[in-house]
Amino acid sequence: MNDSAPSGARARFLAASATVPEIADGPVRLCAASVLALPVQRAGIATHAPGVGLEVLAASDEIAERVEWAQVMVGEGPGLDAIFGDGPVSVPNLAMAERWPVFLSEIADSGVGAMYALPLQMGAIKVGVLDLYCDMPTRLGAHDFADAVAVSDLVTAILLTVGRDGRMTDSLGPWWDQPLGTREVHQATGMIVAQLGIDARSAYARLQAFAFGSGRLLAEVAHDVVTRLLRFDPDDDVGTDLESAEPTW
Amino acid sequence: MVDSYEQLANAFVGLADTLVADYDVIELTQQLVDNSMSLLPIAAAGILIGDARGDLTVIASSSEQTRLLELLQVEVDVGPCLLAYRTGKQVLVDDLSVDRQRWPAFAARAAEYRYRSVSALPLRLRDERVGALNLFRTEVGPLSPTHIAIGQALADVATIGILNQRTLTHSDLINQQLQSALNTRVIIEQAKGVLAERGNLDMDRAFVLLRSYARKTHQRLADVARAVVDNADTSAILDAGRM
Repeated sequence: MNDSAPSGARARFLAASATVPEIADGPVRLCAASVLALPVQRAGIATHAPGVGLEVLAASDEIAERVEWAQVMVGEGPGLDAIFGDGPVSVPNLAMAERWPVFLSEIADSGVGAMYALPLQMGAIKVGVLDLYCDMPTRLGAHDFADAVAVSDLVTAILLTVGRDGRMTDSLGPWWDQPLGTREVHQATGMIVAQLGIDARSAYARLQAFAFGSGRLLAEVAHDVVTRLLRFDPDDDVGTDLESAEPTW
Repeated sequence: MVDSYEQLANAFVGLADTLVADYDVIELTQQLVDNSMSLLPIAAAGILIGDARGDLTVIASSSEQTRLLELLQVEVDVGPCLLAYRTGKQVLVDDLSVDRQRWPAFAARAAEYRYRSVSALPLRLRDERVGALNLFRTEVGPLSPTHIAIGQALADVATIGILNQRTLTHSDLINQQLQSALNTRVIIEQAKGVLAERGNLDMDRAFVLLRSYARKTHQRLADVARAVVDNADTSAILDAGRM
């Protein structure tokens, strides 16, 4: 598309979100459209609600996905600060950032150089965050940054579309379809609740801690729990990897 | 006519600006009509929007002339616009004089006013159907695929705006519904995990048992799920699966 069109970011985003045929409908398309519309290379969306916490909704590619999951696992990062703070969080050079030390060490080898976290919010309704990534350290100019904010407003508007009677349906609709990983994290939490006899919040914390300690992705560890390759035994301090455990029969 | 990408981009920006500002649906749809008139080789345009019952109302048109409004009004009952609205698909009629039996009243009225072809584009976002955009021409023959794509893209932006306006109007209620829906789906996934572990089941089976227990005991699924995760006794739920 013609990049010299004035404030063309909205037009590019809308055109892209309507017509990226190789990507199925849903939140992944919103990430892909954001990347097409803006001078960034990757994008991720995480949702947040009180009592639910941060959940990965979608990402444009595997690298963005890893970084989104890293925030969920360690519970800190520019995206979370954007959600809880007053506005966007800009990190033109991740390597030089002085906040979020645990998050930064998690993503040190990921290949992202800059990150811009834009809260997805409409009035009092807080939905989550749109995280934009550049492969190299990049300082977005005022114009490009305004475009990024405009795109985040469009993403929010799409996520908050409601039906004719002014209601969101119970099922939330296709823009909210969660990836398998997010669902398995909650399922694994439930399994740990039953395995250890603890509450859900503690079970989730155990899952996060295990992933962090073993250097693996939270979603991968959750998958192992769900497929019964990994279980949490009340007598162990850590989870038992059943693949390498001795058979008991 | 579309002279340049810049014109099109400006049209998008103008429409998209309304998405996050406080605006009127009437203004938004009028802007859509104006954009269509300036960007597309058409003689007239009109927009019909569905109300809560699914009946159409004429909400904007390119001219206040009675004849256009009357023509659109006929379409409230039957015509390409209603079809586009109901099906969510484009209805493109290259020559209204062919197949006059399809919409006799509409075709006759259109002929009176010398509109010989019409393109009805749905205003929809996924499953949510809002209305339809009618584009009239005095020539026989189709709008080019490019022009149809432009018209549809403009309609899509307007649809987001209309749906968005509903959100802004009901923002507290939406917020409650959103929080509730997000919390509910987490608790259901967690409950599936608890049941899967206790009953040595896969997740799909766990969900089936959860749901059938909720139905049998006339409880909401979310309430049963919450009890399961809060360590309620799950033997009744699991026993049903062993029978």
